[in-house]
Amino acid sequence: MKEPLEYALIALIMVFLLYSSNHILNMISNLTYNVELEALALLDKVCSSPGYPADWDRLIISASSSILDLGFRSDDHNFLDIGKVNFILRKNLYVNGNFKSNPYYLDPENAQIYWVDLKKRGFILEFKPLLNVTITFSSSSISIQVQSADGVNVTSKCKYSVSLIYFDPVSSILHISMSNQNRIDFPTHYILAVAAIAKLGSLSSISYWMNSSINYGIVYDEYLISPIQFNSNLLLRCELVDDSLLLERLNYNTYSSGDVNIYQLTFQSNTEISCENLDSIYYLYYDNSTGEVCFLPVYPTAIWSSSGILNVNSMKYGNPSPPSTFSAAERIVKIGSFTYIVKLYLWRSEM
Amino acid sequence: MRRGQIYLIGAVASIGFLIMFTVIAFSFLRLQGGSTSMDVLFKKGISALKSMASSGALEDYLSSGDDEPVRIILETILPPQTYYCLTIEDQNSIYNLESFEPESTIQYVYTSSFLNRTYVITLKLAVRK
Repeated sequence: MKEPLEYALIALIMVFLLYSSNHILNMISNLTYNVELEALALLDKVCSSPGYPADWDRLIISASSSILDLGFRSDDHNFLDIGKVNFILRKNLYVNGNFKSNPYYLDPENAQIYWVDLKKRGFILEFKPLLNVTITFSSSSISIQVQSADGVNVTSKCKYSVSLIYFDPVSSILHISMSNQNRIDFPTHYILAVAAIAKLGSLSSISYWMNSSINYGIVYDEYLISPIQFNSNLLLRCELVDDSLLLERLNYNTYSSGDVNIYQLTFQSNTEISCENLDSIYYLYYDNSTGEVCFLPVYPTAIWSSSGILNVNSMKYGNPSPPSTFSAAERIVKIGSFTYIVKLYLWRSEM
Repeated sequence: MRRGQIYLIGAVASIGFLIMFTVIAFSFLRLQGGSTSMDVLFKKGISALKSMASSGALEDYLSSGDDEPVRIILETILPPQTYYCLTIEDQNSIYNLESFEPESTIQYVYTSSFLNRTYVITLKLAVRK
């Protein structure tokens, strides 16, 4: 038979155990910082490493190798490679008003295989232009508004470089014109595509506007992935970021055909173009005989149309949505001439 | 000694062990949590400095004195409740609070290719209480 004092002590111990275990569990739940540190380290690695093999993007297209470790750094250590980033953001091509799957899109389901540092973690990797460039289109003008990443309207502080591709119905000729205004009037022209660059000091972002009847392809460095077959007299208009306009007739090699058409750009002399020289903002294919147009934007960014944003670029890569608790790390990077925020959302997963 | 007394002594000793265990566990976990939160602030500071260097914002500030790109990057990368003060030798400081007790101080060496000069940059950070 136990004494009443012993019962009281046991009860006291039970209460104390409950109280202390509750506190300890709360302390443990606050230790999500470790995942945050992991997110920072993973993001740092993926931005500062070219991946393995270092030219995995070209090797995938030429079908000579596959990716063994994910990394986006370009040959220049301060930049990410546009072609590599396009492998995870360009899910679709756009042809005759319908989306078509990009055969080179790296499926996030397989991320555990080619991102070797990612172990038992759910993730989303998001790329956003640092300046949010909005293109608003009316029947006779376009206007451009800019917000910084923290939501401040910086339209009046920015410098602009806008290139406009339009079809003149009087002369029946396709034109490209440049402007450094954020409002452009065009009373009679039929606008096909717009590339608007906003610069705030060293920070720079781009958005596209595209007529929704235009076909849309993808650029991986010197490779063009087109939803349509170019005719043999290929005419490509190549727009350069440094405000100089380059109109070149380029030869091409067809790498494969079938569902999509893959072209490799070469100069007339058949000298291969290195990707460092291809800091373009878009390519435009126009067939004079059929009137067929294909817009090949180089940068992952918002593509506007007369009905709002066209959902052709996914700026997020990874699991469909994060759980309620996750850690995040951010970094500002240059991709080509433009400034992006890369954000990695990371959480524990039992995958 | 009665059996009840032995139980009593055992119970008191158990409570003593439990208190010791709890104190040790609490201090260990607090140490872990505290140091990692400082690590996160430190690493976010490093990330902001690397972002400024690679985006050209530092070069912009050093060559033209335009601090807007640097401010945008600091406001974007650092957590919202963070005080910051960025000091570059021979330049004005960039801060969101003039004076505060820093919880993390980072020194970063940057070489300007435009001015052909090396600068020591100090970023002081603290979490708003």
